[in-house]
Amino acid sequence: MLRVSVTQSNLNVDLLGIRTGKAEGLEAIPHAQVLIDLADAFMTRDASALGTARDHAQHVLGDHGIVEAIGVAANFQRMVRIASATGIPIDEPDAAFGQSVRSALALSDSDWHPGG
Amino acid sequence: MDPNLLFQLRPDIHQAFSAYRVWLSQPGQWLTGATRIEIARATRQATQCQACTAFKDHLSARSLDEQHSCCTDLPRDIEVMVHRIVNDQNRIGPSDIERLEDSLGPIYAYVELLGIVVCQFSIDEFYRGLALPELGWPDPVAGKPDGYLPALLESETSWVPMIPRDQVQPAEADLWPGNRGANVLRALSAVPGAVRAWQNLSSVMYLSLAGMAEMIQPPNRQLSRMQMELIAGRVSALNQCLY
Repeated sequence: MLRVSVTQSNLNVDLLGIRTGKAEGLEAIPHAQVLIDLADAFMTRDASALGTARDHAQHVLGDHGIVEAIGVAANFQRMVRIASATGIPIDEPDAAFGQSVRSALALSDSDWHPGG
Repeated sequence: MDPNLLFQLRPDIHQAFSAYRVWLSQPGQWLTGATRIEIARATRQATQCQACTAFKDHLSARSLDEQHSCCTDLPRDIEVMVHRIVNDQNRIGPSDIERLEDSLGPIYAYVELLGIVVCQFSIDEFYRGLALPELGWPDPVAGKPDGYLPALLESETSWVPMIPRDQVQPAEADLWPGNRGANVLRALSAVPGAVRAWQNLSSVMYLSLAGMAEMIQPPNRQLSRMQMELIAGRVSALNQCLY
């Protein structure tokens, strides 16, 4: 969805930052590193780290923004659990597009280990 | 954050969470209201289970099932499955689901359980993310499950029966637009109420189905679509969610 969104906005971003956690190449997205850092802290389940990242993000994004950011993060805790607990395959209505996203994310690399 | 401020900012979130609690408390298609609330309680408890953390490093996820810290009135194998969905979902297989039939009932009951777990978990994650106090539990509504099944189900796509993408009957016509039922939507469709519950939550925490398709920024949101998708992508990457 990010690939579609930036394409429609005529922006140029490097999706690899989603894997690496580094916002280089994602500068076209406002506050990209703040958002990545918030997502990373959220996923650690470390209350102290999350508190620090949340305070910073709230300062940058405002009250509405932090609520929305945490809402999206919490929402996407559902998807992997539904997919893995039912064994559904990936939808591929456009095979070429799917391949381009996998390539941009380097998902075929043997070192696939986000956050590692 | 003050809960009152949260719900002043986004009353739609408060309404969606309230609607979920009503849905949770009622008899479902295969599970009673009391059982559904126990599943939700087990979901919250699973995040505190020390054994779940330790087991991730073991070659066999099932060899240490007896050591999970269970806290509800559910049969142990059901509660362990809840823990695995929350903490170790990548190692669940079809044989694990089949083994639940004696204690949980037909596979449709597993679909209902999964729908409750993922909805409850995402709500609890939202409260954790904003350092808000956890919600209490609703009282269960008495009554029997209705045993409803959609008219057409297929079992070729995944481990659970699903409504065929292009053969949706009128009773389920609201579940997805046209023939655009992504597998993650169809996965819970043997229990249509579970699909509706997670769609209601998704529409306030992320985007509605229509909003996803429109590729525009919803008018009542501060973050842009790209910012939302960046968070979604990073969380999915950390979950190793290739879907």
